[in-house]
Amino acid sequence: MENEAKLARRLRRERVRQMRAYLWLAPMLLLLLVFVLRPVIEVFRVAFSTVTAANLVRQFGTLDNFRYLFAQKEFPRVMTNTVIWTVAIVALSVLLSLIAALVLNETFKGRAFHRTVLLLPWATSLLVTSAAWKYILDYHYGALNALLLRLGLIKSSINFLGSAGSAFTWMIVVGIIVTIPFMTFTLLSGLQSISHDFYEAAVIDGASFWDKLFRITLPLLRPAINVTIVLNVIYVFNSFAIINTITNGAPANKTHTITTYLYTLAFQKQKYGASAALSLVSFVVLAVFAVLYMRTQMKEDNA
Amino acid sequence: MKHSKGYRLGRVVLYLFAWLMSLFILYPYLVMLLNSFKDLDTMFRIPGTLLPEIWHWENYVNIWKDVPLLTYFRNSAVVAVFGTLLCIVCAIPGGYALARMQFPGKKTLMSLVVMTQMFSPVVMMVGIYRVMSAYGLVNSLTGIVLLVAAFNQAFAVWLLQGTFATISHELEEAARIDGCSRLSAMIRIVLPLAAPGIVTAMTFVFISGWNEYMLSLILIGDANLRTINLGIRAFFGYTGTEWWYVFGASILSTLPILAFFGILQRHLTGGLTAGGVKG
Amino acid sequence: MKKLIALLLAAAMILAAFAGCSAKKEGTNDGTQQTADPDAVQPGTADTSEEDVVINFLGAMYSDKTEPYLREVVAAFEKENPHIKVNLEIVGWDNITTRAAALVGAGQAPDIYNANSAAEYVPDGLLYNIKDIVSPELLADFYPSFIENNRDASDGEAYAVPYLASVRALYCNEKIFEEVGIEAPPKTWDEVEDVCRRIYEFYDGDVYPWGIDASTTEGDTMIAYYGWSNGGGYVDDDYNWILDCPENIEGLEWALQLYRNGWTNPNPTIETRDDMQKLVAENKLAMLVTACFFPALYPDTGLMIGEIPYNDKNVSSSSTLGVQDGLMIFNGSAKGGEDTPAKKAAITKFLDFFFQPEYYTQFMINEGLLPATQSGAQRLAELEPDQSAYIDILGGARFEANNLVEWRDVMNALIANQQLMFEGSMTAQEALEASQQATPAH
Repeated sequence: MENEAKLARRLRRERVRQMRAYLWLAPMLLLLLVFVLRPVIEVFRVAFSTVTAANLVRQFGTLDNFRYLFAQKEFPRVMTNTVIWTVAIVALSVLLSLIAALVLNETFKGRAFHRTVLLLPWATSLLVTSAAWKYILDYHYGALNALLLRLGLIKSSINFLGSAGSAFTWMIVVGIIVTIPFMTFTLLSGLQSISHDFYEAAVIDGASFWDKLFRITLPLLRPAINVTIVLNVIYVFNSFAIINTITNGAPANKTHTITTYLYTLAFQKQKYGASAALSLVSFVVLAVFAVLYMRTQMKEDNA
Repeated sequence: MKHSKGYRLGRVVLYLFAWLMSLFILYPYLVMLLNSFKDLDTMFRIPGTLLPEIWHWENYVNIWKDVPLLTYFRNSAVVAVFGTLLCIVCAIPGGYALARMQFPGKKTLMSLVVMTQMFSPVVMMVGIYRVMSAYGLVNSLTGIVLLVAAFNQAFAVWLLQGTFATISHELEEAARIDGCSRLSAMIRIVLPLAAPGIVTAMTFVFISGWNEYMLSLILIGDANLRTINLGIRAFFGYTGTEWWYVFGASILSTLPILAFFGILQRHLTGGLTAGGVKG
Repeated sequence: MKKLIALLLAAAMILAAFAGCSAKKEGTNDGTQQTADPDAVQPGTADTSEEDVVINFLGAMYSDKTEPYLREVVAAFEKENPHIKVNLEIVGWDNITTRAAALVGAGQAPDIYNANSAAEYVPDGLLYNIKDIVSPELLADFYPSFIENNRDASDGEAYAVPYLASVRALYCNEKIFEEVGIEAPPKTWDEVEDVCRRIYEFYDGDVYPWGIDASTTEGDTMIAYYGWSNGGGYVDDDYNWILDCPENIEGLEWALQLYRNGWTNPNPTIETRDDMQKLVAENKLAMLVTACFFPALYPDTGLMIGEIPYNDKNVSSSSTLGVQDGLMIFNGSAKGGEDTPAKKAAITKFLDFFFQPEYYTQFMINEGLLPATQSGAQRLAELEPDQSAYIDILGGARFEANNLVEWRDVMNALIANQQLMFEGSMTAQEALEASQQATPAH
């Protein structure tokens, strides 16, 4: 009897505590539900509805938008471009940022300067940076060709944006340059959290530079690297300004990624429904990535 | 201490890498800066020009006169500052609850939060406009503030729960035994310890608010409510765009924010660590 | 707990203060609110204008002069009509369709919207038939051909108020022509080839003789420049698409051959009209078909002006492409409620005011564009005699078929296929046949 009462009381207390947890979560949930989830639901509704060229949603319950989307000649190219774009930028940026972070973690003359340089891109709109890059890469009057010509490194101007392949490659380069600062900062802060004791012990054991790097630094930095990868896969996947400003998909829609293509679908082709359908496709792609990522994470953690 | 050959080579590589990296990052800014002093004719000379032929210092006077930079600046600051505050005010209790409390559905909630991180505003512009107009939040900075807070919420919560999780329970529990409520224990003990993480989260939200463009493009119509990006981007897209306006205005708008970061820099690097460890 | 609540309250208060401050701003723009005393109301118009009315005008930015000038016009109008307030929003061409789509989709369409085609709004019945909103006097002042071009292909009614126009012509760089020793702009395709060869050989390839814009900006004009000039075109007289007709195929093949010879700009698929105008100004490109506002943008560049060259084996004269932009007047169904009679009257009044020659013609002069009203053209001829030559051309100009609802879809297909053609993965015939497949008849 007495035990049961105690149990009931404890259960009640437990429930109160749980309720309290939701109270703490309430502001966050409110923001997410009202301003993120509602529009997401709206995207779902539009994707499965007939939408007119004037952007009026007419009839719910159709797959026409998906049919239209998948029938587009450029659709497969858009998908592979997105994968190449994301993987290339994230992978190369991680590699370069890791080196940058290791470098900036050393004490050397001018370190403060280099660290300040890393902050610069955050203070400038990516739209303007992209416009600057477009000007830099121009075949005729571009600043890069002018520089290379002046330095005598080339004899005649290079047609950086002339073909789809070359343009896409150069946009990836721009993507890497704008991604590095954020990543380097994340990794640098990870490096700074590694206790010096580890290294001191290693030095006593006579460890070489490479030993220290591969046995201590990288394993301890792994969580920070993971964070950067996840965040940047999402950022880079969703990145818009670079491609939209520099080529906007030209020539022949061969340099689009999902984000720029769905913008073009909606606002240049007036296919709002198909654009919403592509939004859903992009959710699915990212969700698959998230699941795969979480699974490998769990496996590694268990090992 | 005598430095080995390998050490010296390492230093050379180190310097080389640092300078190369800075050069690549600085290059577009250098181009923007130089071009902001050119006239259009020099800018589009073939082959391209590196330096202005005549330094048009008056370009900056004209920018200041013709572009209401102060208004743009104020609007951007409002979006970034209030968006950041709102975001963080909601993310602190959220992150704390996820790090410290047990409740049903916690795992699901956590993955849901990470999932919302995947929804980019660009991907659902049309939906956002419909919803915001239903809320009556079109053409107001409040709407942008709320959206900036909401779309950065997931990241902030995620970062903060990582930070909170690394702070030891013991201090907090000791405080609670002394009679503090959970809330005051959190405010007095946990928040100060989590300060670096909070500063980092705020900085990232601030940056994203400052750079916000897509949402204000579709939601803001009133010229007095234009943010910097909106104002600058308004120059794009017609024949004969005065590029020195765009570049000069961008550089001017970068300066205050850069100064702000310069001050914050010391705090910045520390903060992500905590989130990183638990990621 | 108390502190948390206090914190949230504080946040809420900050936001509320904020909402207050921005809400205030919405109604009252830049000090031109309706504080004017009632004495200012003109007695004759009192019956409809007593009521306060707001007109939303979403306009495109043609140059950096557009916004300041239109604000002046609006201020003058508001001064004369204290009960009417005009909310002017000027957006760059890059963004205006995005903004309009967001507004229309949410049922908050602007009253007046400046765009290049009304076709996508007609099927939903969102626009006023212009004869229901434009005063008879103004309607009679527009060039009849402009209104004809705006007639919707489905019901023969016009849903766009002619706003302004430009015509295309061939512009030749005087300096290059002089150096090579060419007297006049080429008239026929044979002459074009001859001039191209001479320029190419003279500069050993350093100067591009002929400019082609097959980018998304102007790719739709390829059929006008190379199809019409060879007897082809977009549609036949009954609005049936004829993209893959032999004349068009031959025309595109001719353009493609110029490109293959190295006689054109190197990247026709990405280099836009704007890029190439810069090339002409830099003496890097000799000939370019482009819009009539080009000389105004580069006043220091010596230019010879000619007609768009044609193939004299198939046609006997040049076809000029005219491009007109329109004002769409959205009706109640796009704005979540019928317009009151006062609102309709206010829009009519604003249009009358706007198209008065003293304001309208100055606007055209600022932008280097051509007026859509006869009174405006007359005034332009007085003020800027140079421009009147264009007005004469304008009378005979042909327009693209952008009054067809499928226009945009077909053009997107055409542009992509043409780009594949320049890339070498399609022949002209394949590109045009694939584009024809994208038309509704198929």
